[in-house]
Amino acid sequence: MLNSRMIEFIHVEREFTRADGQSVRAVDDVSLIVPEGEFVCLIGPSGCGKSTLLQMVAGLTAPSSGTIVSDDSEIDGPGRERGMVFQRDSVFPWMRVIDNVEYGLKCRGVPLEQRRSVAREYLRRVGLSHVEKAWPRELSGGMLKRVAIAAVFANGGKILLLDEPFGALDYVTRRQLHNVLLDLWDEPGAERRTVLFVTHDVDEALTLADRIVAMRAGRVADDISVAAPRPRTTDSLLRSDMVAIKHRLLTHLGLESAPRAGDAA
Amino acid sequence: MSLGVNAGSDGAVRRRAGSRAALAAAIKALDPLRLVGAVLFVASWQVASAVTSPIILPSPWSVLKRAAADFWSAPALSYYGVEQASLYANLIYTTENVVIAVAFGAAIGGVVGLVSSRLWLVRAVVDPIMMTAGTVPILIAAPFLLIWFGVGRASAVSLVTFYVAVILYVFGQRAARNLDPIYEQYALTLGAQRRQTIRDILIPATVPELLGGFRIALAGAWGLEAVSELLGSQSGMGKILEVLAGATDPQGILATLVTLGAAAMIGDAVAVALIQRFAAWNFVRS
Amino acid sequence: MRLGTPDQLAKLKRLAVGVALAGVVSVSGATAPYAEDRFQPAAPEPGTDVPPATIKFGMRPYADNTFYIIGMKKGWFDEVGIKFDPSPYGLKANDSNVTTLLLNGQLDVISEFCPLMLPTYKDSDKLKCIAFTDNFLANAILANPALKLKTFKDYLAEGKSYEEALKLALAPMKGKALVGAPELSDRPFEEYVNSASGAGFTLQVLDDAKSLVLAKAGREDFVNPEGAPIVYTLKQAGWTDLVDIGDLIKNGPGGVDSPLEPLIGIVGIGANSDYVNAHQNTVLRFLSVVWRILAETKTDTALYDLQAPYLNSMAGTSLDGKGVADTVAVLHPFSTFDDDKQYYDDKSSTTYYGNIWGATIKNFEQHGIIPPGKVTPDDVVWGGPIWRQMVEYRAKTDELVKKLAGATLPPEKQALVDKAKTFYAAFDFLDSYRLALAASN
Repeated sequence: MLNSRMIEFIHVEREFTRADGQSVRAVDDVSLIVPEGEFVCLIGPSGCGKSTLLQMVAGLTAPSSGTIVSDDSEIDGPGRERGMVFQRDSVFPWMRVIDNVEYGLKCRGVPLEQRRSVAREYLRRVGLSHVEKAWPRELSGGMLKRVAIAAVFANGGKILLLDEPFGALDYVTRRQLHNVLLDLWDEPGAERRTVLFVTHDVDEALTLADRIVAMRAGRVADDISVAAPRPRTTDSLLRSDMVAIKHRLLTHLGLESAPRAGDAA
Repeated sequence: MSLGVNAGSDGAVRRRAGSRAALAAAIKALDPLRLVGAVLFVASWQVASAVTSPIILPSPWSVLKRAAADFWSAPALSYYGVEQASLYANLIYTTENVVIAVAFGAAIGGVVGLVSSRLWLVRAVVDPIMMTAGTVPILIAAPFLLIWFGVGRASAVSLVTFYVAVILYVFGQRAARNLDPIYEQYALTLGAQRRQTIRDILIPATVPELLGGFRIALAGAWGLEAVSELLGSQSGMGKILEVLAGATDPQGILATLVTLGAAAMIGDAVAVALIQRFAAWNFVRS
Repeated sequence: MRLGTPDQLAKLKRLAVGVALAGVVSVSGATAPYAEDRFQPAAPEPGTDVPPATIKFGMRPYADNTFYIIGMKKGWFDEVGIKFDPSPYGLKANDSNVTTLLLNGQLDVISEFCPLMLPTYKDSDKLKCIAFTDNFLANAILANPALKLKTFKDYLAEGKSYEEALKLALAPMKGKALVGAPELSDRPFEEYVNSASGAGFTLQVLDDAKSLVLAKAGREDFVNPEGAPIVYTLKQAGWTDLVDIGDLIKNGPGGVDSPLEPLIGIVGIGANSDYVNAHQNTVLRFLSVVWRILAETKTDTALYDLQAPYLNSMAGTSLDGKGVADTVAVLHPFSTFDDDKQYYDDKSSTTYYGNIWGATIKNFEQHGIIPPGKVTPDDVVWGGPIWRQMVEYRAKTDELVKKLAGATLPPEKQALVDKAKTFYAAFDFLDSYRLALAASN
């Protein structure tokens, strides 16, 4: 039975005190429900609070008020149930690739043979079998991201959090990694994980998401369902409903002004 | 449609440290330019010794011969009151002291340094001690140690241990402070417990910097040990130096120094090997 | 970096050849015996003035090394025109730096137990022994009073033979440690006593200052200090004199071939040969004051009051004038000008320099301190020719004064003769001769 309230934000607020003593509200009364298996993109301009929201789901920081419930229990710290892929490289440089991928399993006490084979399987699926024994310093940025993705998938966990993971990579690599991520997420015969993916790239959101939540100034500004079928191709983005969503999002990002009544959709 | 993932498609894979890289490193180490520098140094020493009397500057060849002659057996030393009459036996004594002091000092200093970056109370207590110790020349402690411990190993070893501990404390504290918090955060989201992060993140991540400090401390430890022995000891290279200085025997002094220097170089090579072994992940890119 | 161009290679080849040649040329055999380096006496200065001179002088912290201060404080050195650098009393030196300072010219003259200069003969022949001042009888094995041991003298009194007494006195030391001073000079005594008695003690080396602290704290059992003042202090404090060098000399095998020969220590004065052969007459004047001090202290022991504070400040002892006088009298009585005959003239005496130094040199050769066959006693000891020159000046002065005895002299000349007699009484026979000569002309 799928959990229709896999992640639930209940009047979540987060305040920071700046160095000059001023109080900043990074997240302002956000209430949101994410059902299990949904791929949600959080999009918004810099400083809109999307990353802070993600950090709170990860348990790395706590809300100033309100609660976040994940899989029916209140979040009070980080855990393997909510795996995270960071924007910067977080793969451990002092462990070889294979040791990185199996690290989460090792922490849980999974025996060597078993965790090796799981790790190897995910490395194969992200196309990195040939660098199993390499050191992270020998890999390119795109390859390191694959390692991080493989590690978080190999660790199990029903919720996946990604904080602008491909922001530092070039266009081609980013497109390739979209496919890597979607291949792993949309595994035939397996339960889909619930994904929260933060980005400010509209096309990325349209390619990946079932649902796009736009944020502005710490609040939810829009909540758009993306109905286009998967797999999504270049042509998918040219559908009229996709183009309409894109305009809406660009407006929320402040790059376009709202369409006046009477303009063509 | 999902694209097949291709190894070559997102950037070249850098070559691994394999036999080819090792060969290149060896050739670089035997840099012909460095060899020429060493040869010129010895040559100018030889020429300088030719125009001065041997009691002012002995020739490099005579120093080498003396080091070889005295290495296994130097009966004259027992006449000067050195407990063991050979360079070898005293070199072992000095090396033992250096190894003990460096091992203890590095362990204590490194651990306390790492802990001090996490526990403010430790830092508050230990930092002022380290600051004072850093400015005061440590040899001032030598007479006190002599009174407390006598003329055995203990005074020299404790002096050098303290010196090494101070260096490793600073390196350890700095390494832990420089550690990017993202690794620990990542580990927590993978399900690691706090104590697992100490074992799996704090320690391995700080090892390269700690080994760097270790190498520096080791280099200084040889000289400090020799001087400590010089100030009150029955054995060791420092004792030999003191005795030969009193007899105004520059050839013997230089022979002793050359032998000690060779040991220090071997020690440094061991440190470098340790760094290669435990911090290879940091230096793979050549 | 690759040494690529032919031009660079050619330059490097030339450099290598040049360096190799220089290296070959500079390598020379270093163990040939020393060419004869001897004292070159100088003529007396014309005229009657005593030329001023400054000597860079260093003293070691022992009673028979610091008596020079008596002459400094009494102004006797001023009377022969000598001042010291560093002013006013010279340098407080010690055994670890004194030979180096003499070698590099920072000191010209030092108080010294000259065999300690012998190791430098491996590489240099600059350090000479220019005089002897006293026979050192302070070598002694002292035992902690708490052990209540019997001495060599006690066993002799019971009728035991020399060998037996030695064995019995030192038997309690079997397997124990003797704390000895770092100076080489102590090794022959310790080695002889160890082997002749069969005691089998081990040596632990500690310099006198630290050894005295441990002894006073009762943490030592057996000690052989370097400095006589330490020996004196400990004996006053009740430490047992198990056996000393005086016992050995008095009762042991005699003669110049005796195994005791290398043990005989004569303390003296060391100097850099370059300095001596450029300032011969200054050296004679300096030694004249030394002989004066050695003579005067035999009759006027109050003079030691001038030495005691200076000695204490150097040696860490707390002796008064009488303590110093006793130390000297018992442990190393001074040799006066005429006593020096034993060192230079009487070839059959155990204290003849040739015998002692021959044995000492051989001992050092055997222990690998100096290469064999390189050094002879005359290479090191210049005391003989220097002393003889002064003896000659005395004889010549005697002659001149005898000639002038009957004559009536003009007042200036009479003043010269009187002045000459003053110098004569102060052992400065060089200036007494010069003045007598001026008075005779």
